[in-house]
Amino acid sequence: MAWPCPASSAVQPLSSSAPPCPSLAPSLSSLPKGTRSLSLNRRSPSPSPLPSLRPELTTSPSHSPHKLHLSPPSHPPPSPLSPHGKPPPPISCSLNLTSPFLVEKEKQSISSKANTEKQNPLLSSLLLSLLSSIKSPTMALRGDWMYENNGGTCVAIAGIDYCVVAADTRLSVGYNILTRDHSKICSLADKVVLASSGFQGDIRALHKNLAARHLLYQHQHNKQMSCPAMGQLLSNTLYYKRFFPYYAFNVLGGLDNEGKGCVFTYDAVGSYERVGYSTQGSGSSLIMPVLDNQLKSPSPLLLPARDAVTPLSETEAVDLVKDVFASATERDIYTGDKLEIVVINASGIKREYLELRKD
Amino acid sequence: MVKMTDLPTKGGFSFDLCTRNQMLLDKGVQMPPFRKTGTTIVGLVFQDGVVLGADTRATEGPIVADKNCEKIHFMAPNIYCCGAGTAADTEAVTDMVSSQLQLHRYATGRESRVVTALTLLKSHLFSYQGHVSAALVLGGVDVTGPHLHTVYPHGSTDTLPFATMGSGSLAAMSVFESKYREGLTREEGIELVAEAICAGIFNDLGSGSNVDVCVITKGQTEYLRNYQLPNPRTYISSKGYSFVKGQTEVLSTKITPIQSKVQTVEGGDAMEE
Repeated sequence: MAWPCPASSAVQPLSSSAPPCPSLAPSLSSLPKGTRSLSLNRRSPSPSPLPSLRPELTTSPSHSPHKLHLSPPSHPPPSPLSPHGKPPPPISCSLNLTSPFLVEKEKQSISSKANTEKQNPLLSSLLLSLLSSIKSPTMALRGDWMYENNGGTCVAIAGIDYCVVAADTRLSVGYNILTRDHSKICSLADKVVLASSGFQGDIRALHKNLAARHLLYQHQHNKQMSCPAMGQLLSNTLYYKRFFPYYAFNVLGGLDNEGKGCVFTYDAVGSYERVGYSTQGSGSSLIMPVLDNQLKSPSPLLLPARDAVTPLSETEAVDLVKDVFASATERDIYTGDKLEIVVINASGIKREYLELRKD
Repeated sequence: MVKMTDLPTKGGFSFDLCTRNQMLLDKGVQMPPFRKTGTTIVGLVFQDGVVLGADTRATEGPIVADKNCEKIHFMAPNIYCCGAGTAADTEAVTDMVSSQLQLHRYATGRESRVVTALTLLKSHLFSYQGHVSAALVLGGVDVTGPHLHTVYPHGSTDTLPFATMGSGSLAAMSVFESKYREGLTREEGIELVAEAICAGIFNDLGSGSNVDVCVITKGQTEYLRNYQLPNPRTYISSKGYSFVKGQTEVLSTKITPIQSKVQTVEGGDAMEE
């Protein structure tokens, strides 16, 4: 049976200017201008474009709350931080009729209707039944309109004496491109580079926060922060906002105190781990398996524990990154335009660009 | 013996499964995502006929499912239809109407008319109350002249000199509204359609890859598949890839042989032909 088309401008939140979910946009434009299908109890069946922070909200509240997986199941999985509080809502849920903002509006309009129709008991009972069937919000401050996903993919690879950090430069919202030339990479220290994908507002704030903290550190300790130190700082910064997280998926790359490549991967609330390579973002699930196969890094699960850096040379690693992004661009709509590649080695930080598909 | 009286047959769409779907949703069962084409499709009328255009990307959420699919469907030798929305729906509905048109041609002995296809499509889509998510741009040339129509999933139609549908329709329409004029030549028409599709391809994330064009004139139709390929792959590793056995670390191995039991039946019947 064909699934009903979600279409109702009546339930769009007032504060958002762009459609919150990509799948809403095509169905709106493909429907006749005068369509108003009143569907109070319909949930959006559209698949979320990104791994939802809280999967159970996109389907139904009765879905069993499984262990929280804020990041996409990338390598490695985050440490079990199963919270008891409500995790941040997914940003991709369109037509979320359980949003408090919308529910209030609907309630007001329906109660006013009920008032005017008091003389018709049948109609008012119908309206009351409608009112009771609207699910009440569980959290007062919940709302998908707080976050937005701007897409993009980041990759970091650690080598013997270098580290490659790469990210595409496309900034998008819904089905639109905001800009083709937006850098997701932030140079925090001499030997530390941070790449983040997700909600750019939070990412800007996070980068600014870390840069300021780094400056303070420099004043207090008279030296630059090392990569492991910055790794810990980022984790603490993210966990500090555990109950209103930064919607940022980060990979931190650099050289450690011995000059070896060092990559840390994070989820949205600060769970981190030092790894040999990692990806985050919309194209991460397309890129990760290729890196698993081609980087020839020893598995972290093998014993005795070995260094996870790749034995590949710097040029080979950069070549792999370029190819892998070109492939991800073919299949992921949020990745493309241009690729920014940053290589950190003993001689400093070097930047390179590669044109990607613009469609 | 009591005779059971049959319930009168209900006309129109049966909504019985809607309650069942809602019940499944409440239980937490997620509907499998269907593939939408997330498209840019356009059509315009020029002095000798009609030009249709489409991009070639089919998406499943954020992933490109098909980089070079065909969105311009055959309806009749003189009528073609571009489809946006759910890929299965556009395919099924255009195939169905195409068959109906052929039967009609045999019955009447005449070339199909665009309004015939239009009526068949709109009545089918209306009877499904918008659940068949197909947004179409129908164009063709028949004895009465060139025609271009848009059909919406709920069954409404428009007759227009130029039209765009799909997620990239706004990008394409901006090109048409700026540059369309009556009495375009064939080359100008094709160029304008290609430009509109390219606008959709580059500015809409749901559309991409290549441009397909179809030119229909009196007595002749030209289907220009992959008329433009503006998106070549930007980088190919010269090294190539090798997938050596053992490249992915094997952490542990356990081999369980499958024992098959073979039973022989003595004196069984010979198999019939």
